[in-house]
Amino acid sequence: MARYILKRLLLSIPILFGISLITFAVIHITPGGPTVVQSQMNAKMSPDSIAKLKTLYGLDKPLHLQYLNWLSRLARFDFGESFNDNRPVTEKILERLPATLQLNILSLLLLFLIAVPLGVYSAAQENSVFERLFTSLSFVGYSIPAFWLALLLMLFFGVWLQWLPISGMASVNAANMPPVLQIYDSIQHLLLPLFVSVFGSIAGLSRYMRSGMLEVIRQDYIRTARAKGLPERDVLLKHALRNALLPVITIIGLSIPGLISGGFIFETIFAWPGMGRLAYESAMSFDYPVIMGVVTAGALLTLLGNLFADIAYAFADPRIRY
Amino acid sequence: MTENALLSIRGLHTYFFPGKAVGRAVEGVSFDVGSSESIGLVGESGCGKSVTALSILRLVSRPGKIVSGEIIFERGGKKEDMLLLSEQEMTKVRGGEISMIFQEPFTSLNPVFRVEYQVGESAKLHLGIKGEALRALVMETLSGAGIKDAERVADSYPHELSGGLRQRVMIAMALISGPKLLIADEPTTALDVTVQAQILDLLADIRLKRKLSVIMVSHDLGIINRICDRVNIMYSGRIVESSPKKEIFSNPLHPYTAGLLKSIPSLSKIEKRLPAIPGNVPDPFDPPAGCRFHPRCQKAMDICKKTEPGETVVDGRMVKCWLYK
Repeated sequence: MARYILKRLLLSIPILFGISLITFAVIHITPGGPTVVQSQMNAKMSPDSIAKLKTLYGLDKPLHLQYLNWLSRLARFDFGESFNDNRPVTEKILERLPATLQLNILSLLLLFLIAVPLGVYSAAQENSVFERLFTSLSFVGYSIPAFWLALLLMLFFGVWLQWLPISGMASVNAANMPPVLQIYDSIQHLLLPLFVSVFGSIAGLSRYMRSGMLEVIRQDYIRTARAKGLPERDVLLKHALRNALLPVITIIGLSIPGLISGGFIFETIFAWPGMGRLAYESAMSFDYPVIMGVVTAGALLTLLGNLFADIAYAFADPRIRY
Repeated sequence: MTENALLSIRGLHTYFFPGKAVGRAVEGVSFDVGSSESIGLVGESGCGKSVTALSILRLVSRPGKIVSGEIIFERGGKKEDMLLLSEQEMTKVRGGEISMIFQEPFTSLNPVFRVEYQVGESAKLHLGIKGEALRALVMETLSGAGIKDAERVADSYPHELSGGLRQRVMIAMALISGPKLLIADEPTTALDVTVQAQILDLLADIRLKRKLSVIMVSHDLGIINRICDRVNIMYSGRIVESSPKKEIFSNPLHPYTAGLLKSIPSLSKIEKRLPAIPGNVPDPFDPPAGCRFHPRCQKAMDICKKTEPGETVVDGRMVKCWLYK
């Protein structure tokens, strides 16, 4: 097992290398650049000062040197500094991380708590009215774009009913509130983003769970469990669920990078000061070091998430040994 | 037929309803199983023998459904129609009073639970024992199923065991709660020939030791010959002949039975080509009129094409064939 983990970790080095190379190439191929963004609105910028800016950012050097430079700093765990405010990229990421983690961990927990039982129940009720309702509703849920739902909910609960704040993590005057009110305030801010992010994923995961259960229910060993005299509830919740949950491990593994990357559009709409917004802002302003930092962190977590899923499989499924 | 039968099936009809079509998998099957009697249910694939077996435990899954009939089983001195029992009562019958073992030992055990748990589960449920007593009973039952290193097998997962061992585990699982009737649905079909023989010996042995009634479902008359007292030949959802074992092998009544017997290879005479019954089992969704066997029957008469034969009793044996009317 330890050997296997070590092998996987070593194998992820070339993969990370490839990802960073492709990302680097793509952002440099994209038309425009930090100097263009910073100068085009400013009539006073002379070609001379643009050239100076390029030298400052190191953009005057050949591309391969720029990449090697970035790579050599990364080897020392240094992601460089932002073009926008010259602060270290690591610092900028760490500053945004808590907001994204808070929202995403909560939404992932809620998602599994709701979607797994929902999928199991609808599989147990195959061909019933509930199952048909579930199938059509989940289709609708799957199809509704998150940004559209977010805007509608903001309009309804925030503007018309004025029950909930429409953006941000806390009210402007939150710092002056007593602690209990501060918590209440942040819960209020959390509700809409949390609902939208969970809503969009419930459909997908519960349908996945449902089809997994339906497949397991047809297996011979389920018939054996019934022939033993187990009540249907035990057949489903012990014998079938244990097997149907195995593929969910993969989904959890795949969700791990999502925990930190956040939704680009989603966080932007709710003005949620998280990683997604950081990535969006840095992409819009061609802040190369920040983009590279966010993508590399995401790639690293994706690889770790996959590794975690594979290890978890070995514990959950006795047939798998490394 | 007999007053003291443990199980009496009368006019069992099990149909399949996928969409609008109706598949008549079992159509009017009746037979008895006496106490400690061993009954064979024989026929080609698709004749309805497995569906009949599953119907007894009401385990036919959708779109299959038991449409009509009676399955009378003696429980605690009383005769009850199992088709009228509540689902909760049925769970007491399944595994507790009637057990079933299946064809595929490779897929019939749950891959994520250890053998001890899977075998013990039935005893926990029906006998209400747990802890050390349960483990002891599991070991005893596994040993009784001819497993030598019961401890190791109990701690294994199914994928770590060979097919023969897995089928022994299935047998132990079926027997642990002391059922009166064992239904074995092609229990050796998926196994090697040598392992087949061992499993059959085990079943024959257990049957006598436990005074167990057995319904052996098989397409293989050789297997039936080793285990059964009485044989029911099934064809297209019906029992076409029911005879004691000795007589069915020496003097088959129904042309279909005779065809089945002829298609068993014999070691004593070398044949160039094994005689087979031409044609296939009728489609349960579109069966032929009259006697279901007439398109494949060499002795078919005009009446066979039009009217289905009823039961005829010949020397205490039952046959459905116009030859005996």
